[in-house]
Amino acid sequence: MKTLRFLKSIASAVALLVGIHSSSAQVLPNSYFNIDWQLGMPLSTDFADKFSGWGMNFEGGYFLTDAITIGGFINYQTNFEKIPRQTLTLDNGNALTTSQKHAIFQLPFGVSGRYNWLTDSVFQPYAGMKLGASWAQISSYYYVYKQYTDTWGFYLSPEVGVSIFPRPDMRFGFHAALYYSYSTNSGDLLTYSVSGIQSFGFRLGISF
Amino acid sequence: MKIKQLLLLATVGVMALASCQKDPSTSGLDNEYLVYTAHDASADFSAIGTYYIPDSILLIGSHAINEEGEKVSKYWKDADAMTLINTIVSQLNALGYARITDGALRTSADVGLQPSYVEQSTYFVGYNDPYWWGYYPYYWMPSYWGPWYGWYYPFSVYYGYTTGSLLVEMVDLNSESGSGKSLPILWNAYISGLIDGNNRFETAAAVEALEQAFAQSPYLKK
Repeated sequence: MKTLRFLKSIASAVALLVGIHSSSAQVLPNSYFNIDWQLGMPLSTDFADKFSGWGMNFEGGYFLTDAITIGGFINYQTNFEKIPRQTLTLDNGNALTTSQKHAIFQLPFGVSGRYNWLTDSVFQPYAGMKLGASWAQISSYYYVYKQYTDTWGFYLSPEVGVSIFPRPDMRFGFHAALYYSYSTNSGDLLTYSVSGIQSFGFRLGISF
Repeated sequence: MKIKQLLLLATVGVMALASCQKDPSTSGLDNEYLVYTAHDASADFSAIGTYYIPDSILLIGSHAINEEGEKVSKYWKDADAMTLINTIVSQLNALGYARITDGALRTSADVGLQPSYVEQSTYFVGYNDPYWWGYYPYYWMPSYWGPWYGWYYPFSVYYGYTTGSLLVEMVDLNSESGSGKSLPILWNAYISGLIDGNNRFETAAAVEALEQAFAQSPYLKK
């Protein structure tokens, strides 16, 4: 609910800032912007791979042609996992017995491209690709401590989605998308090792 | 005008992202005990024959006043303290070490055990500068064991010990002593999370955690 309220507040603020009114919703000619609530989960990492809605996506682009757009994006996502108490054997035989909460925070950003269909209709589907860099923090919380590793990697994310404009001439409406992402972020933490992060999820938001 | 709007939009985005990292709820984590054990990997524990352990637990963060009005170390000696000490004793005996019970002979033991409990205030161990710790007020003084002048950790330890932590350290009484010599710590156990929701010490959990400390230190076995 907090995230929904946050999204609604952001949308309201953006609407005020960009001066959306009845004649036109476009900030710039031949452009689009998306602000989304992002829900997703890492795949095959065995670390903090539980589904979570702690994410958002910001994206904008320019129509090179009626069908092709190019632009930029930045998004973030945090996923968690509770680990029951267990004994971890560390370097040199030292050992730690504790329960933990694992977290992965991903912050990718870069360029995006889309191929759009039916750009004059209410439902405007597209297929897109995001490429860029990703900063990810891999963390373990135990007792009153937080231990973490910061990582950088290359980011790639194919996506399919649809922009929904109740009045296509206004270009202010909703956005929904499914995405998969892969980043090369790798890091070690305690006895855990993450080598590349795959994620899958969806986005719901506004488009203008 | 459009540029200003874009700058405002970017500002909103940056502000939203500035606080975007979500920390998990850690509720419950600090109520479950933690056991960390570390040791000197070069130590030969199989060569240890005898040990001495005091009959009380030093309370870190507290002090008593003696007859001269001076602040002196304070010790925990009640039935709960005896339960914890007896747990350590039974674990060491099970490992094959022989206990020296006569306090006058403590310096003749191969190793000494010094149990402590952090009753108040956060207690910091200076890993990079361990010398000052030897002079930490109301802590075990190296001279309790003999003519040593400070402590020495040949392995990494936790930097901060929080209130409610139980510490057990094994010191090497066969190490070289004398002027400028530090007393090496061969093994230590750091146990925390022993305070329940009503701010009471959980003796049963402490016993379980002490047993776990020895269970996860198989190199101690003779």
